[in-house]
Amino acid sequence: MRPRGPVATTQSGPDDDPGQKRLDELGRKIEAVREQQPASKPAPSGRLNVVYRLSTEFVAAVFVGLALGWGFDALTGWKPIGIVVFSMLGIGAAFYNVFRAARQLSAEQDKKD
Amino acid sequence: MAAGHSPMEQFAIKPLIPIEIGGVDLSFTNASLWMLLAVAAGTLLLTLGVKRDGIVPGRTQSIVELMYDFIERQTVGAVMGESGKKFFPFIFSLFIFIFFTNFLGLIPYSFTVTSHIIVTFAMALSVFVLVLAVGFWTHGLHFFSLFVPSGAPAWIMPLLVPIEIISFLSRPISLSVRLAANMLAGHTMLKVFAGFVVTMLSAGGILSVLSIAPLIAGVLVTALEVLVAAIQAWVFALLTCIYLNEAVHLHDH
Repeated sequence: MRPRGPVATTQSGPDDDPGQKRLDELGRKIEAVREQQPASKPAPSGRLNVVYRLSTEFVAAVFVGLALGWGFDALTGWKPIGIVVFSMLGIGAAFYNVFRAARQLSAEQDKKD
Repeated sequence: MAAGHSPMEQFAIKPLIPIEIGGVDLSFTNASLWMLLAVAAGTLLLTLGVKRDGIVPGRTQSIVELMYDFIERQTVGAVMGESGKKFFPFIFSLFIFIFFTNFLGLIPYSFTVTSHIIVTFAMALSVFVLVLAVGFWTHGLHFFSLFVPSGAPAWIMPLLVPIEIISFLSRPISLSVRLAANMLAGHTMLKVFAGFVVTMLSAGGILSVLSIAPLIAGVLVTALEVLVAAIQAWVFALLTCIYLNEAVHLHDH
């Protein structure tokens, strides 16, 4: 292993002890700097990403509602009732999904600030 | 690229080694090939990265450590805390696989596995099954209380519980559609812009001069796609964490 940067000038030679001490010191310095910084954030969630996330949450719930209603009608034979009721519930779930996703996104945003 | 080529042609599945067992088509296709390549590339990078575990990391090791730290500390750790430790291998594998299939798909003439909803849905379904298994394993039948929102009055429950259940069932769909739609839309857009360049160039005259515009757009879209490829892999991992976290700690959401 070939150390690079300014470390190379002082850390040459096989003596491990001073090198280890310097490394520990560096580790402490890095920790100190890290603590000063706000909690590190995962990748930026861009506008487009938000749009995709909310729209898929919405569409998926409506789709599941419709599918459940269709299945319910096929099983029970109450033709329009299931699809009407479950698609309404699906739309409700869609808004709920979007609301929850938006809350998660704003929580992420808060952590970033 | 001939003018007759549709921008959707890049997503066609082509059998490379036809295999048929008991009437079931099990051919080794271009999708299989690029999945294998993604696994190979991921394994190669991670193996090379940890081979010479230097105290001062080299380039490859830095990349691997960044990825590891990004998922371990900033995603799994940030969402799930201590309880996320045992799920880290699964989430990291998912992330690496999606990351590499997305990125390999950006290479011209390659194939984007994650643009196929059946692939992303299979991954989302495995997450869904894992969430169910973890939920019932840790909480038993009490897991069903996930569908009963806390703090709501009792008379509204017949409405809220079905909504919670539909919302829960919609997760694998939104998870898989999001990834596949992102990749599909991005790659189609790239091909359309590239097609414009060729068509305008061959039209001649002022149009061939103007063909620089779709070329610039294509370059910008490529840059955007690099970003999207990484973000979508991360979003998939992050949402997996959020769902697993809910299964482990009911009602903390």
